[in-house]
Formats: sequence, structure tokens, C-alpha cells
Amino acid sequence: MESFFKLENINKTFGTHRAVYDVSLNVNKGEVFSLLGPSGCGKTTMLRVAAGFEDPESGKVFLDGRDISSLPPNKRKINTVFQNYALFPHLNIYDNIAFGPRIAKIPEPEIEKRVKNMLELIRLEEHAFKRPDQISGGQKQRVAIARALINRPSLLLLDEPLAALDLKLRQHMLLELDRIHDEVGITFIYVTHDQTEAMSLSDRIAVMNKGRIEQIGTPAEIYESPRTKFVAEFIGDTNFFVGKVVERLDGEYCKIDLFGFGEFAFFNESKLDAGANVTISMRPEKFRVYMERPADSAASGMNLIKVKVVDIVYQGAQTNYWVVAGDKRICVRQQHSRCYLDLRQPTWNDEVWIAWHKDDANMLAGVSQNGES
Amino acid sequence: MADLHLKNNLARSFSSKSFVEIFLTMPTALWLVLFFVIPSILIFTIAFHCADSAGGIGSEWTLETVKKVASSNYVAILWRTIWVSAAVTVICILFAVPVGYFIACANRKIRPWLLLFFVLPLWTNFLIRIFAWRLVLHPDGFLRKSLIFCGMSDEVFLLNNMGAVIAVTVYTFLPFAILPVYAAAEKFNFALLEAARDLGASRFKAFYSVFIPGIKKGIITALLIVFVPALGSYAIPDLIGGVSDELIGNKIALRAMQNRNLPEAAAYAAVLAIIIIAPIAVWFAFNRKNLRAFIKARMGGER
Repeated sequence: MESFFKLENINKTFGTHRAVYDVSLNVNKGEVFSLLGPSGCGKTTMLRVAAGFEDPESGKVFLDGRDISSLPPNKRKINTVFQNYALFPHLNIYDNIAFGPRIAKIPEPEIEKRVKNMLELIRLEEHAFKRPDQISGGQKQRVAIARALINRPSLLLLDEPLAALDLKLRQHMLLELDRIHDEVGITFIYVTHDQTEAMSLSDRIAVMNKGRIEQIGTPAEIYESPRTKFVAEFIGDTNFFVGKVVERLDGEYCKIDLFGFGEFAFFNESKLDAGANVTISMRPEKFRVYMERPADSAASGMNLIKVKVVDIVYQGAQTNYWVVAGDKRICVRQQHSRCYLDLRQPTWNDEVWIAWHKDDANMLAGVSQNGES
Repeated sequence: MADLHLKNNLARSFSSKSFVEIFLTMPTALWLVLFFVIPSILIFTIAFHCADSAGGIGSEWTLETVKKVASSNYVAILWRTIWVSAAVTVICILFAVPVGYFIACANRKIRPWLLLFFVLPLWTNFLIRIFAWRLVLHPDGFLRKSLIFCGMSDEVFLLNNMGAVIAVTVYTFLPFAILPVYAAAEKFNFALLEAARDLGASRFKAFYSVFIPGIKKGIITALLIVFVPALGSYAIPDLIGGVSDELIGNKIALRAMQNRNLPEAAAYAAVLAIIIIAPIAVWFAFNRKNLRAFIKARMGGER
């Protein structure tokens, strides 16, 4: 598929700080694409390059097949929803939304029609003549979105649009954003440091770290199959194990010596040969907990370790167990699909068995001798 | 219910506040009455007397002095005073807005230095600065000689004309215009300019339709701070201007100091005071209306 919006080999330096290293990415038409990463990872710089507020030292920006690298922000068919909304305080909601069309010199009756449509879309019809300081944060957010969308941009950029809202409002606005995206069908690029936001809204996510893209993929790919240690750690919780490949088994598997635990079978995604050092990421919920050693039939294709429970954090829907094997602490998460009170549960100092399927561990790429990436 | 609650709260905070407010504003109010209200009333009453032969104030009430002030000669001077002050104010604002913008945009570390750069001239005595200007603009001065060397006609004189008066008055008042504009610009959210650019505005359009309204209060303050003293200036037209460049301030000084005609000086001063107070009164009335509309909108919003 021909990409709709493309950033090609973007480099940007502020003073001595290199914000973005040679980043390229392709965004498809109509998708919600997220740039996800901790603060200072370069995601906002990428967004500002896309909008035209920053000139990259090198690299090109393409929109709909056209090179727009040299166009100023006001000549790009791209609009931005700013982090702190940046609504014009001297204009009311109506005039804020009408700002873009008025600059484009669209006739006033047409503007009125469009603003009304927008107010309907963001469900703020009755607040049209209030000033920005008279409405709530969530409402401001919606006005900022309407003010951008009314210009019918080819691409909408959203810079941490929910960061200033409280949790409940954030969850509500997330659904609202999803609804708006479905209704207008415009391509979104969404910048956030919040993995939940990125996962719930995006078609694809680019995880950024220190000015580079670590991985691009669907939310499920990013979560289930992180390629680097950073991605595995940044998205959700995980346990890391280091080891060495002992031998390749039939088909796609290999036997790995996990230091301190013995030898286990793993899915050999990277087709590693004997002797290779590996780091393995295991999500807590991928483990199963058995009070007794399970029968071989129940545990076919599973790897088993005997551990001791040291910490229990009950969270209602799930419980996190911290277990130790030797000096390694492992986090194990159990969902409660049955009533927690009815069952015998592991308690402190219990010796239990934890098991994982050989397909469920994830081997990380680019890992050196000591397991650091 | 919530609305009623809010109103009660407002009422309570107002009534308890008003006593404290009156108490705390007493010194200021006293000061204003002693040094502004009473002298103003004195000037207004003196204007309705005649001068006696000894240079004092006659005891009888008369309209003669006020009538004299209304004669065409003085109206022309008054008119000149107003347009010169207006021109000075407009030029000051035209300089102050971009300067305030650039200082506010500048690096946080160099901002105080830039400000100092504009305030520094104020550390020198006002009259000395004016005399310095006389030297700069003098017919035999370096500036005029250089300009003539560069091709300016030698019939042009830089000193003792209205242009010189306006230029030096602008120079004198510019720091007072820059400070309030900068104070407003410093609080301005520059992300708004990016938002305007993002929505299709050119650099100029963004500046004009977002930055200017954003620093409106600073501009209005600068307007008043320049326009009002400019109306009363007399040293600059006296030292820099020509014979026909007298402003109302010169007339007041002349009548009070040399002619010993205090009632006539008082009459000019009264007219000047009215010209100064009227726009401020209008501005305040406008602001109070704004304030009331704001409170109304706030309480309406709660409903």
C-alpha cells in the first residue's frame, strides 16, 4: 500500500542535544498512528517537523505523494491539536472554531454551517458563545479538535491531547476521539507517553526512545512481541531472563539454558544457533500457577519451575504474585475467572509451580553478552 | 441551589471584604484627596477669577478668563497639543509593540539586559538628555553635517521645528511605552501564534490577529502612560521646538511664571485636566462594563 504520509530520514538537533536520529516512518490513509515514548524521546519533535514548526537538518516530509518539506505550517494541509489546547482567549468558542475558515476567506454563511456541524460533532452547541476560560478542560479539548478539523486537513496531529485531563475524563475523551475519528475518517498522528491511550486508540504504534524508533507495529504486536528490551519494559510489565542457546530443536524451537533455572524449550523466532546469548521477556500473565506439580498431560508444551511465593498484591480483577527461584524475583499475574474466595489460593511462603507455554516467551533482538541491549 | 449558594458566598465575601477594603485604601484615598482632588478643585475655582494688578488672584468671580481661553488662538494651540501628543503616542506604540515582542521572545537570561538597555537613559537627568539632543540636532552639529554630506539639502534644519519636538518626545516616552507592552507580552502564550500559523495564518496575520489582542491591556496602559504626560509637556517644545511650536504646557508656564496671571494659567490647566481625565474616565467606565459582563457571564454559566 502506498503510504499517505511519510517522514524520510529525519534528523534534528537542538544545540548539542540530538532530538531525532534518522527517523523514517510511513502512515497509511485513515489510520490512527501513535508515536509513543517517554518524555524527551523525540516524539513531539517529530510532530513539530510534520506540522512545519521545526526545520529538520536533513530528511523529507511527504503528504499524499507530494514533498511538503519546504512548506511553512500555514501552507500544509495538516492541523494540530496542541497539548494545552492553545485556544485564543480573546475569542469565543464559535470564533475560535471559525478562525481557520475565516483566514481561508470562506464565505460567512458557509462558515456558519461548518461551525454548527463541528459544534454538533463535539456536542458543545449550547456553549458556542462562551469564552475559553468559561468552559472545562474536557470541553476545551473538544473545541481544540473542532478548530483543527473544520479546516478539513488531510492529516490531524494530536500532541498529548489528554495529558491535562483527569483519569475519568481521559477515558471518556478517548472514546470520544475514537468516535470522532470514525465519523471524519481523517488520518491521525497521535503523540503520547501513555501506553493505555496509544493501545486503545491506535491502528499502529511507533515506540520511540532517545530519538530513535524502537519498533513499529499494531498494539498487539508491540505488546506480545516486543523486539527490544526497551519496548518490552515500556509497554506493560515483564520479567527478563538471560540465557544461552544450547541446541536447535525440531522445527522452530530451540533449547535454552536459562542461567540458574536449567534448560527449557523456546520458540526460536530469530533462528539463533547454539552458543548465542539471549534475553527473554515473559509477561506476568503468561504464567500459570499450580499448587502441586501438574501431571505431564496437563503441562504438555509447558516449561515448569518450582518457586516460593514472597509477595501477594490482590487487585480485585487479578492478583500479582512475586515469587522467587534462587535469587531471581519473578512477577506472576493471575486473572480471577472464578470467585477468588471459593478457591484455595497460594499464600506467603508456599512452594508452588509456575508454568509457561514454550510459545509464549519472547526472545529479544539485539542483545549483547551481558543481556543489555 | 448551587447558584443560590454561590450568590450567598459572593455576598458574604463582598460585605466582609468591603470594610477591610475601605480601611486599607484609606491612606491612598487621603493622598489622592489631599494632592489631587483639592488642588484640582482649586485650579478649577481659580479659573473663574481675574488676575489682580499685583499678580495675585482677584476676589471677584468672573467668566472673563474662561472666555479668553476659548478664543481661536488658544484653541489652535490646544488642537496642536492634542495631535502632537496623539502622534507621539502612536509612534511610541508602533515602536513598543515589536520591541516588547522581541524582548519577550528573547532568551530568559538576556531579557533583563535588553530591558536595562531601554531603561538606562532614564538614569540620566531629563534636561541633560534634552540638551544632548540639542547638540545632536544643532545646525552645526555632526548629524546635520553628515546628512548634508550624504546629499540632504542644506535648507533642512533638524532643530527648532515640530518634527524635532515629536522625535524627542517619542525618545523620552518610549521606555514608558515599552515596559507595559513587554509586561503583557511576557505573559502572552506564544503557542497561540503557532496555533494561528497552524490554522493557516501568515506570520503577519498571526501577529496581528492573535498577538495584538493578547497584549491589549498592555497597549492600553502604554497609550495612557504616553498620551497623558505628552499633553502636559513643555520643556521639550521650549528647548527643541521653534517659535510656532508652542504647546498648551508652554502657555501655562508662561502665564504662571512670567505674566503672573494665575487665573489664566489655571484655566488652561483645567482644560488640559479635562482632556486628560475624560479618556481615563471613559476607559474606566468601559472596563467596569466589561467587569460586570464578566461577572454576569460567570454566574450565568453556573446556572
